[in-house]
Amino acid sequence: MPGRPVIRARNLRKCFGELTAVDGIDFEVNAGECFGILGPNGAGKTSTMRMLYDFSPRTSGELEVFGLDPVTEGVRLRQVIGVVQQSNNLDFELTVRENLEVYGGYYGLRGRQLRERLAELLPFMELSDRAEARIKQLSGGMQRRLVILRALVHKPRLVIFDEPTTGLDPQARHQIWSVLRKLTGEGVTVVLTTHYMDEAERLCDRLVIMDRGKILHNGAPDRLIAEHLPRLVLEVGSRDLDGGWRESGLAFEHYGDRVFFMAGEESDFSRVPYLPGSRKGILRPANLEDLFLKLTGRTLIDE
Amino acid sequence: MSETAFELPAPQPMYRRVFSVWRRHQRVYFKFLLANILPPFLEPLMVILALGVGLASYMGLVGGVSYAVFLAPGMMAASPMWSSSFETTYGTFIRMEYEKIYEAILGSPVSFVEMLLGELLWVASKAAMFSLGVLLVVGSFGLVGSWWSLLVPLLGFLGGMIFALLGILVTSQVREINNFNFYLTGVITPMYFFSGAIFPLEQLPIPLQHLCGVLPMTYLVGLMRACCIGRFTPGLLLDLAVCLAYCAALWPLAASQLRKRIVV
Ligand SMILES: Nc1ncnc2c1ncn2[C@@H]1O[C@H](COP(=O)(O)OP(=O)(O)OP(=O)(O)O)[C@@H](O)[C@H]1O
Ligand SMILES: [Mg+2]
Repeated sequence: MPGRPVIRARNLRKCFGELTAVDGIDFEVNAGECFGILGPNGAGKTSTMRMLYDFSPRTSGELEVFGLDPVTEGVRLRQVIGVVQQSNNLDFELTVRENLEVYGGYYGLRGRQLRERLAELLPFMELSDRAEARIKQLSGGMQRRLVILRALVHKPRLVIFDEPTTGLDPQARHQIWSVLRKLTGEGVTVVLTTHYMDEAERLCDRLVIMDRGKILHNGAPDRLIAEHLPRLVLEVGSRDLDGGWRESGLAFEHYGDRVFFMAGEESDFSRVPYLPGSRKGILRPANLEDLFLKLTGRTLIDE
Repeated sequence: MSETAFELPAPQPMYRRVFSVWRRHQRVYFKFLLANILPPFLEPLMVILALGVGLASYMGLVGGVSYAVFLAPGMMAASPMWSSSFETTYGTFIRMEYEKIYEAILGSPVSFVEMLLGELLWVASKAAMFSLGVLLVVGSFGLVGSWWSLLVPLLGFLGGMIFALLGILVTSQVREINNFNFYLTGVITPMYFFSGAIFPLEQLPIPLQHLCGVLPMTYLVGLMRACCIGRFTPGLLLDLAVCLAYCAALWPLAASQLRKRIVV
């Protein structure tokens, strides 16, 4: 492994009074890597992220970012960390350009240095022609892109994205993905949280799956899937199945009105007991969503 | 690549980060300057016109001077009180709960204390600006009799700071924005009427006078009036000390309570 990890967490814990939001987790993030934190609502993703840049102090455990303790070195660390929070917390009264100027000001960027940086950044997110627009005139996707741009104003070495694409249309998501890839391509370390397993599979070199404050699994997405699941999944509506489907001999997960049969070969699914004349299921490769369902009996998005 | 491939830059001096927050608020405020500045500027002038000129024609001297001269410094104290109180109740609450501006700022190198300082200094600067506004208008009508009145903006800053700290402390406890009505009507409005800004407190029954003696506004009004009329007594040093003590006592409370609310 080249050099020390950028982030090192040992038995990291965060409690809000009685509630344990992050329950003693361990993970490491290496330089230049895209690291994902997956989990349903309330899993503890945001709470974990917030400890990384010393938004909130940890309750216990060890945490190092660039070899430093965020609690004592927060100000120094945040000069090289970019943060994209879960909400679009922009200065709504100001224009796109003014937002970036104000945020650059927090990093001590001024005058010519700041102007040059903005000239570089605005085209990066295709916001150049909206530079003088008020935030209220921007679409949700554009607001999100601006929040991301703002986090890059100081050329960070580590960028933390909390649900960068939640609620965006496919085109906006692709735009944001390409920016994330560009960052890791430049050697910037990226940590992101998401509910979307397709996003995680696409972007993340490694990821952890969290639920109720604990890490259930940790590894590269394709390896995790290969290790824990058969290759194929057949997704069927339970109303299309014969009442005795549980005895088909196939591995399965049952969620709501869907049944997910799992097997290594397509031919194995011939054992699925369809009702006569019913609709056939959808065959696809196993993915992270299936893994999460198997681990928790729930899906990532709807609680 | 490893993390040793670059050096962590040395941090900016703290005052720069504090100022960057001050500047953020100033830019946002100036974006809608007229709407923001005109009403709070005109309000005290209307009071002086209505009471100090209109009503005063039925009065004799108040505290040894004409009522308009008596009232003007009261408004120089009231104006910062109102401006700071609105800014740190509704304003701060909206930034905190709806716009999540503090969350955004805390993603940058600015620390919580720096962020709060920047905000308090801005609110107090704005308060100073409003007391200066009243001073200039009233002064141009010849109602201010002393060069000591040049200290009015400084006192406005001090008063603005007290009410900013008080407002932040209240906001840190409020969960529902409508509840600010209780604070503004229950605490700030009484201070407006019963602090000597509008009439001399000697008119009140003694127990009520004692009660008014607890309010920071009473001391601020005393200082403003002394500077505008140019009549000083040693007791004013005590007034100044009380105002400073209010700041000193409120700062740790407001800072720790708001931190609990935002950062947890
Ligand atoms: N400031 C807070 N005070 C009290 N409880 C909190 C606070 N922040 C988070 N929690 C609780 O901690 C748990 C984890 O929350 P967290 O925001 O980290 O989850 P998340 O994985 O980011 O969820 P989401 O996908 O909804 O963003 C939740 O039960 C949440 O209610
Ligand atoms: Mg979250």
